[in-house]
Amino acid sequence: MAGREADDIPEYSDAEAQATHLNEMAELHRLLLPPAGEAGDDLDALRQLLAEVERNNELTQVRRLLVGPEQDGLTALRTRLEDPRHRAEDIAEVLAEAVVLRSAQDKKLTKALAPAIAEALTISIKKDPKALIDILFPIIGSMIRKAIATVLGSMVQSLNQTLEHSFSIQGLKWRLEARATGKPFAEVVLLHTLVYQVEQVFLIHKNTGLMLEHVTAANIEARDPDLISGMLTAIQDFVHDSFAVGQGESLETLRVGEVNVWIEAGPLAVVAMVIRGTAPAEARLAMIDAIEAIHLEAGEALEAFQGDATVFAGVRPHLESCLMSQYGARQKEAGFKLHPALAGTLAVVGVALVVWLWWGWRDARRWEAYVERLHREPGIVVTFSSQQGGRFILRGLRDPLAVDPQSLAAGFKVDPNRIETRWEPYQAMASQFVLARASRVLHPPPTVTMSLEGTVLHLSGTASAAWIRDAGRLAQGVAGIESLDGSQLKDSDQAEMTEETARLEKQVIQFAVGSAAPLPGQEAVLQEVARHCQRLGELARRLERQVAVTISGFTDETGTETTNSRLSQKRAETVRLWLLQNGVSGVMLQAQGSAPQTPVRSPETEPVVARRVSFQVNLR
Amino acid sequence: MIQKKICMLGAFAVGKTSLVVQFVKSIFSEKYHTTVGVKIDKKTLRVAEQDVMCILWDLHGEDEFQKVQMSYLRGAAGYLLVIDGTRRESLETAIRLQKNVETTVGRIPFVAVLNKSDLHDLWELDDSQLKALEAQGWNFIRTSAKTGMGVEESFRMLAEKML
Repeated sequence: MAGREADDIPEYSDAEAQATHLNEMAELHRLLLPPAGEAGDDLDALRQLLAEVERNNELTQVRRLLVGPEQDGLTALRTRLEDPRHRAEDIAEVLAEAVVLRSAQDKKLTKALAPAIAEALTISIKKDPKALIDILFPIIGSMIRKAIATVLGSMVQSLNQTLEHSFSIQGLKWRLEARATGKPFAEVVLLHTLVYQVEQVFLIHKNTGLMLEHVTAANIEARDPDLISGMLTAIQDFVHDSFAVGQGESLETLRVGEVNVWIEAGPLAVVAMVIRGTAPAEARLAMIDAIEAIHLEAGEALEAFQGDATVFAGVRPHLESCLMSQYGARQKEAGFKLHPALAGTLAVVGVALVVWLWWGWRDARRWEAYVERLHREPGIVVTFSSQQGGRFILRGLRDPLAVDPQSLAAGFKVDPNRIETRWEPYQAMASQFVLARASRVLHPPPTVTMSLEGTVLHLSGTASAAWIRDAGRLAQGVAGIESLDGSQLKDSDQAEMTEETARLEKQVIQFAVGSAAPLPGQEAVLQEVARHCQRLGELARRLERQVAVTISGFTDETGTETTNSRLSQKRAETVRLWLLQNGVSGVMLQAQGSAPQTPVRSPETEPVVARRVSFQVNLR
Repeated sequence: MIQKKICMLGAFAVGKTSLVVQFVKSIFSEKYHTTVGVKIDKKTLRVAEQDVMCILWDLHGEDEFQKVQMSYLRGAAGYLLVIDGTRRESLETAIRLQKNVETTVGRIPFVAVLNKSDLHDLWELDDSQLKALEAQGWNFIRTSAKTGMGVEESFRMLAEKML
């Protein structure tokens, strides 16, 4: 153990330390007690020695007494050390502990052992490879499968990508399924394209070809499985012997039409599966799992098999787990697949169709809402409405005063240009229409308010006598009005006449002493008088009356009566003339003089004005 | 139920298949012999208070064109060595086959079947040679696939030796 790598291992093991110690002890012992052999060569020396021994006999005895037991112990130890079998026994006793201790310290022991173990394995494999294969068989499968699964995973990934670009109705369904189940798309495609059933599973003893166990699918009737087991074994042997195949290789698949026989061989037993259809790779994995599990569980029974297969009943579940099947939808013989361009066109057409239908639906909704609105609109009676080839048709009656139906269309997002209408005019009897019509005929002044009560038109407020007179006549011709009530209506002209008369009669034109010409600044008053006269004339004409304004001239108390009389007459004439010259017409103007009178006082604070002209209105 | 693999060995046209046909109804056709060189049948026997299912591997007869594939003997519990009593050379073939089996598969029970024993006139084997073989541990049984004589017994004898 320490021989090869002694340089690397300066420390000695416990056994070696012990041996060193014992060597030292033996040397000491030899010095103390020289062995008899050394003296035996020379007789003289022997004699001398014997004499000496005799001489020292007592001393020797003393020595024996002193070191005797130690000497025996040392002799025993020496014998032990010189005997290789004993040494091996000693080392074997502590070897395991020593290895554990050393391994805990550092890796030197492992390093030292590595080449030897490698060599030992090489020799072992060369000698009998089957032994190692048998040892590794139950675990190596899962190791390899794990590695292969990684590679296959990436392959499936790329297959996935390839399939991503293909488009078909079926594909779309599978894609939805993949999304729903969370499986890769490629896996879903494979599942659907593979339809199979594992009909029978055989467990066959490899050496004898005898059937150990056999399971069948529920609907399958198996014929002589033990004979088939034998035949399968024979066929395997035949293939193996007839064709130069390597050691450990065997027939894996038989195929006739749609029946496949899959064979998976372990070191001691073989699982064979009869499959109808195309089974997926998982089925093979299930077989491998089964055979591995069976070897683990029943390896010893397989080795010791002497023809009694009943002991293998316990492995049935492993075989049953291989009874897989897939009854998916069988792929159609000619898969319906669309050319991408056609598919694209169809998609565009489909989208367009949907949009078009949606537009149509939306237009219909809007049209219905619009027609509904027209039904509620006063003054409009829809007798027919329809949608024909993108155009809207409306027929009915419409009061000319009703709202324009086209103008409402915009509110409902209906294109007015697409509406064809034919409205028959009629007169609506709803009160707002009767009033509107009356308003259009009567043209009432803003001071007049109209209201309808049944068929009676009530008027209130003020209006000119002429309008009142005309209204009574015109109202008879308005549809929906049978009579007029004007009792609440006042004649505005009469009232104004009274107001104008009062205003005019308050006016006074003033004159200087002894003069018939108005005082400077009286021009504005004259203008005012002229306006009142003119208005009076108009009102009198409308009321079909005649109005006369008497213009009276006055003087102060100074001067003679004759002079004053003449002066007053002249002052009145001057004003009359001015009014006539300034366009007053339609009013009879009369000028008259008078004797001096009591000065006239204005109502408030105006000083007494004697020299003046005043007015008086007479209505006839 | 105990299962046992039993092989039928012998020279070409010694009547191995005829023996099997006497013994059991086969599901496989004769074609198997010429294709894979073996035909498998089964027969259940009751031997020593025990049901024994014999899976019979009827191997193609050995001739100058085709050798018996010894791998078919792997795992066999015993074999019938069939000899045509009317053809001396079939005994020689049997002796050679028996040695061959012993070297490749090992010492396994066997029964030597002297078939066509109904054809007394054509009998070619001499008893001294058979006795010499018996001394070596051979067991002989006379059968006739034609009359059915000794067929059942030969299988039964082998089964008893195997158990």
